[in-house]
Amino acid sequence: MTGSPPSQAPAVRFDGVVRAYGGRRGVDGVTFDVPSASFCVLLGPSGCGKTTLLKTVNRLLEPSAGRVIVEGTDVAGVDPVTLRRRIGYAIQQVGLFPHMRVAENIAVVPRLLRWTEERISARVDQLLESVHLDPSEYRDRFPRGLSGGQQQRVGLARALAGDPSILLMDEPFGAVDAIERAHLQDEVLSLQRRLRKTILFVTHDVDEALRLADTIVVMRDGRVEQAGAPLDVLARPATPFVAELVDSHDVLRLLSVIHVGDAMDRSEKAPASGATVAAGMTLRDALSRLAATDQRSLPVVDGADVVGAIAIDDILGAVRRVGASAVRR
Amino acid sequence: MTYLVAHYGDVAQYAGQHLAISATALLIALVVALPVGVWVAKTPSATVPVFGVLGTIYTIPSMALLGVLVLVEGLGFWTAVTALAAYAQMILVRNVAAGIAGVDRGVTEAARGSGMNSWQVLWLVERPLAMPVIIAGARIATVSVIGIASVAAWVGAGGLGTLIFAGIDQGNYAKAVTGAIVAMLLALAADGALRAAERLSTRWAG
Repeated sequence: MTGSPPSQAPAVRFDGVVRAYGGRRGVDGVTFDVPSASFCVLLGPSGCGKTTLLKTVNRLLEPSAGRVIVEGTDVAGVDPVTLRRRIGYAIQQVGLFPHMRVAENIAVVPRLLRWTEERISARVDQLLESVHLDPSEYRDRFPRGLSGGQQQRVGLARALAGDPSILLMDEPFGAVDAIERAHLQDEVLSLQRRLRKTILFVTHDVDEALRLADTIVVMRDGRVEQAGAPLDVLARPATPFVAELVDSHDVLRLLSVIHVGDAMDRSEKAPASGATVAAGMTLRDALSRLAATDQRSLPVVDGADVVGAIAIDDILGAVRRVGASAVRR
Repeated sequence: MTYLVAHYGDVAQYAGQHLAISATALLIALVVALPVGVWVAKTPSATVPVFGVLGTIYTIPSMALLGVLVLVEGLGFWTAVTALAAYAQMILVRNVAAGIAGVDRGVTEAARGSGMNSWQVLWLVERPLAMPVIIAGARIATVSVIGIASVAAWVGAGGLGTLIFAGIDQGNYAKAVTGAIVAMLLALAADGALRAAERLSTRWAG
């Protein structure tokens, strides 16, 4: 792994950001930090200000008050064109340039950065491979000839092309079917982990947010209702609005945000034979796997080591513990 | 047909004049219409006044416009060119503006978000995407201008109108019809060439 060392400054800091337009405050005093190399999801209904807030980061929109600080520098003092070339930007697939071939689409930012043709060509191939599109097959196609999911992959590759440390993604998977969306979510997560990018991701889809985020920022009417880890937001909603939005009583959702490593029985370390689960999997995955075997308990592995075991009772116990803490609040 | 064979040299000369007048007018019209159209597309408040003025010019009968221009510029080539260029403006500006304004907002925003400055957005994204609509406008303008260019003969600029009007005056219908048919063929040829250009400009949509 070649990630840069974690720096002290947050990748993005919103400091009292207000965006008023025609007498209406689309964003109304938002303050929070997005730590470097984290996956931050802005979640909320349409019109809550999440997209507006996102666009203040690369100065597609200017705040009416407050500051947006990217990697320690107030963006108000940075030339917008220069700023945008070092921040990746991906939106729904309409954003691909229909008159450019796939390779040309991906090459847009590198060209603006005046890379050599040789370097651009190599970069395009590398990016296509990283989003699982065969370069020899897709380089020279026009966006029109691609499926929604493929267009989205190209959009992702294009956003990554200039090797930005920060990526802004605005409902990038809104227009693809559920199965393809799940694939794309997995890929963006693994890319983020591997490349250690900071991602600021806008969605109105609660499950998408729970699945992707390190931090979820729930917005409503231009304000932050709650910012926290998926489990916090789900199990300990700060306001009735958040509770309703995420549906805190949905056990399946809880299962999908609790990790096996946090629920397993550490005392039991039976040697692994047959089916296992990884400590980083969610309880939902573990439950599916338990259901698919005839065993009462499955060994939990972390890499090659067995670190514990997980049974139905452990899963239920974890859900009840989280549920109880939610009630106490 | 016999007229054409007998006067081949004359007809070719008039056709050449006709083409020169039309092409010059269209070129000038395009040079003016491109920036004006882009400006109108980017400045919503300019739409009504600009199209008001152009629409008014468009409704002036060509004879009347030429009459006024003769008073200002005198007889000759440039008077005809001025009138034709003015007529073409309406069609060209409208299509340039519609083409640019019709580019998907998501696409232009992605372009800006990728770090293109406004000239790069215009040149690399809006221009190619608007091109089919602009060329469609140029086609209509070209056909109209080649047709109207027949009246250039009235201001002494020559062209196929010379044959048509002289033919009518002299009761020589072969002469008049030859002028009309050659003008029509010129318009059809230009239309065909631009149609091919239009197809080339939309390869990506195929």
